[in-house]
Amino acid sequence: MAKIERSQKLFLKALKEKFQGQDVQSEKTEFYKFGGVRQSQRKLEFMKESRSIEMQRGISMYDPERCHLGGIPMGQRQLMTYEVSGTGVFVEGDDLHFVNNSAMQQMWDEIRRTVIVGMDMAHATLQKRLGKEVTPETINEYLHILNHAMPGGAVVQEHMVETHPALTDDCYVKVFTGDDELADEIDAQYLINIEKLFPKKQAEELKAEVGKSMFQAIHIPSIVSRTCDGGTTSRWSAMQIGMSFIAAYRMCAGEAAVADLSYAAKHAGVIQMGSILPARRARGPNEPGGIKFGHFSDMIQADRKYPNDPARASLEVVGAGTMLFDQIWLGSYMSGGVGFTQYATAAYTDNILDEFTYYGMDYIKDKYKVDWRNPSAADRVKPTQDVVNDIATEVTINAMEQYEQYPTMMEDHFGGSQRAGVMAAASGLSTAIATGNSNAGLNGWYLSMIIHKDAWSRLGFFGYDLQDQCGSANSLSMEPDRGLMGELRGPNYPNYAMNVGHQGEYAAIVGSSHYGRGDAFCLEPLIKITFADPSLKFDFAEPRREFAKGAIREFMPAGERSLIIPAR
Amino acid sequence: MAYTPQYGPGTSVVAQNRRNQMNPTYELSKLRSVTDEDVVLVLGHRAPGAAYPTAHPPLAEQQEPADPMRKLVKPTEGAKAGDRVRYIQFADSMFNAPSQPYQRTYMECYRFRGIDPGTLSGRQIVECRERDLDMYSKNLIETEVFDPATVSCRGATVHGHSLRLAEDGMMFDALQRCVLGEDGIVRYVKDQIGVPLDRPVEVGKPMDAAWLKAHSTIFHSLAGTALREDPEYIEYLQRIHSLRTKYGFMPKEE
Amino acid sequence: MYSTSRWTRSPRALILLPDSAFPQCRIVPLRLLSPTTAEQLLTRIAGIPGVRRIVLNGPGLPATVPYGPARGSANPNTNRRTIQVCGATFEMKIQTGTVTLEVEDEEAIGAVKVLCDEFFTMMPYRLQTGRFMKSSPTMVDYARYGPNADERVIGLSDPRKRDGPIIIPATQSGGSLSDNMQMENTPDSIN
Repeated sequence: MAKIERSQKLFLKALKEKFQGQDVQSEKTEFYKFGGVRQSQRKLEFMKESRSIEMQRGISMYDPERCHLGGIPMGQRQLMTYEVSGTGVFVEGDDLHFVNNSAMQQMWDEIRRTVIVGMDMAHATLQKRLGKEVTPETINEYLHILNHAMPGGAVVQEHMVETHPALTDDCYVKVFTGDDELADEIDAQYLINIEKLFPKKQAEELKAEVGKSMFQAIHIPSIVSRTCDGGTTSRWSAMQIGMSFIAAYRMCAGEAAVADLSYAAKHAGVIQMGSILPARRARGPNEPGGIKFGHFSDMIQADRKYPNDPARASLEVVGAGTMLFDQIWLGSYMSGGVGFTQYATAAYTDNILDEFTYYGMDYIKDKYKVDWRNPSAADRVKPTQDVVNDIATEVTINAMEQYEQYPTMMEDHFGGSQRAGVMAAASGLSTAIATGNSNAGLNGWYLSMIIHKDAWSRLGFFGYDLQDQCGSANSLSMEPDRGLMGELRGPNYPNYAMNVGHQGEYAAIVGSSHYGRGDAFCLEPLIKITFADPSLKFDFAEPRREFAKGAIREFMPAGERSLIIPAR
Repeated sequence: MAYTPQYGPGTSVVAQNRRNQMNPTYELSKLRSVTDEDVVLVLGHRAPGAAYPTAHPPLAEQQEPADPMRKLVKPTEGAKAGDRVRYIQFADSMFNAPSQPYQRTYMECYRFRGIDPGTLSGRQIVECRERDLDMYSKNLIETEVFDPATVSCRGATVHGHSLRLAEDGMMFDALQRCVLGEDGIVRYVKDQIGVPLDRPVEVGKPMDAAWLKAHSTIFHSLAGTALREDPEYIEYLQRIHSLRTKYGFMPKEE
Repeated sequence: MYSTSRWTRSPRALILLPDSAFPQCRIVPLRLLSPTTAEQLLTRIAGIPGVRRIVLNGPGLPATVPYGPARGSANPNTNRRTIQVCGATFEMKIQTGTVTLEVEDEEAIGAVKVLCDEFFTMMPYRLQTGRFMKSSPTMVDYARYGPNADERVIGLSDPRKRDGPIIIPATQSGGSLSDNMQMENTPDSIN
């Protein structure tokens, strides 16, 4: 006590010397009153602006006068910050709510506004029914017109009202084909060049699948897609395709053959991104609930960019999938409000799932000699029940041990559902990559749930594991009322259409079985090619990185309305 | 009856504890006494001494239709009286609490009648007629399935099961419903939903680490028994999964 | 490429280097700390030169019951009390689970380790190095502070909470006042 008193007295003495004429015991001093931050006119304006926004929104904002004091700033936090896995970027949970993140919104916009339409039927009609020539030149001409028309430009008809190009500049059409000669003749700006975009082996495989056919990869304007819905995409696209054919091939508007072209463009030649959903979930095409897992895995392009890291590629599908299916589909379309952000973020933050999955990779390499860094269909383990059980058990038990031994990891994934989804995902991915079989991967997921539940005598939220208790039995069933190949399952597969914390991971397990084999695609080569297009606003090869960019306000989405709203 | 339930697999102490708790012929040791009034205070559904509010008139006063099921399933005392359905909810620490969510649910299903349990990862709830609840709750608090530090009666704001324990060994509770006194005794100062009690309810001293480990019903590689140490348990989990898988596939048996 | 996990001790690959130029470390005791222990620890930490910022993480201690039938009523809790660290007085709003420090350099981390080895006699602890706190602004900061948020304040408080960080006077700031305290002879009577 005496020591403190002495230093206090010394302190006062020093103060008195320094600040002569001032009352040093007073709580306020006149000496340093220069106005602080109020010296700066700009800062003053900014503070005033902040105050008014504060008043409007009731959220406290910038308060510089509190911050520039000597000493150590210290805060207390109940909530954790999260690192978006694989990116090094630290964000708040709120930054990853899809409403607050423009990259997440754009990813979903890209999918919803996309449709693939074949050209072969149209070309056959033109050639056989109308006796017109279809050549690379005419195709280029058609594409030129189509890229004018698709964003909402008028062709053929007089006195039409049009969209403003600046609002629809994200809208375009490109084509692709497996025919190298034909591809060479297409104007480069309109071509998705399979050769250039894919690793050699994958490019060959894709071109073989597409063959001599030609397809249009169409992306209607984001702003249109947001005002309307997924069902608009194929219709908007078909309208403008029809008009463009009429213009390009000098047809009579409305002549009978136009009906053939319309039918092909609207139905026969169309590949939707999502199927329609029946009553209870009722949605039109191109909504999240109707996207098959195989198709979703084809949309994500990380395997194209990281062909020798199927684990990485799968983890990107987890991130994109949990965002779309947990946060947007189940968290908004099918419910709403605060949503289900943290069920999804558990799977793509803090590198936890990454840790567990790479442990799985080490395990399958050590025990089964799977050279996972060189994916090949030949180098897979036969998916017997014993193998599946062994891989899933080991990955699950290891993950539980990590949670037990690192309490902060347990506290990060404070909810059982988070832990369950992450552990089962790691198990499923490891199993699928090792075996190259999507149903085996799903089977591994269900064993993980069973082990977890009994090990800790807890699992997830009330009813979380309803589908997981059925899953062992239906994972190898192909009977129409209760089974299906993994690639064809989707969020509306009966047992899956209910709970968060599952769908995104299932999509990744399905994809991983193909990434582990080095396959060029999972289910639909046309989708794989379409989303390889570098002109898309969202980079489908790096979904997690894009989400991080959205969280730090570095992602520029499409369809901005600044042009048509009052200037501030 | 020809069938003797096995309750569960495993050779570890955790597996045996689980079987003991589920087996209704195994007597759960009584570790502490709480009075009936204490239980009512902690539950917080009515004032001690007050009559049980009813949801319907006693069954005896009603004309029940002739029904073989009604004859078979005898009503509990609470059902006979027409009590309302009320609940008790627990949070269990992963650090070797003697009871754990699914474990408590299974145990309750074997030992109690007329209950509706609900199991989540952070809490476990059981609902039943109020006077039955009082009786069951007393059992759940007095016996070896309860530890004052690692098991807690919480109706809401349950966060704590996955957190490290506090310095004094208590599971975290944002509402601090119970406090470890200087004398080493834990007392509930609030009821299960956080309303302060007029007088504290003593629930005894926390059990020590050795006891917790010996009576735990959770596998834990750091604080207790690891699942890896019980290969029989793992074998049976895999067996259940394999059989479900096989028969979901519906193979043709030769 | 995959990142080093901040959880385990086995790095798998190079860390993708962060936006912050300053190293960070995190003290993880095996138990959640009482306010008294937190007070003592923080006082010691404040004495380490080179500590730039501190974040305490832990479960919240709300002033009123947040959910359930008793929602809104007062929530007395002995853990939510005022503590004093080097003259700064503040209420504990959380029960301390981890203490994350942003420091000037690696040397400071060494000093933290020495301190922790000496301090944590009653329970084991871990000192982790890596990245644990946010140092660059994100959407949430833009919404709260506008485009020119003070970098020192970023990541120190929960989004949507109205309070900001407190300032702990550093006892080893290297300023002349502290030098005086140490060097001056201290006779019994002072004028």
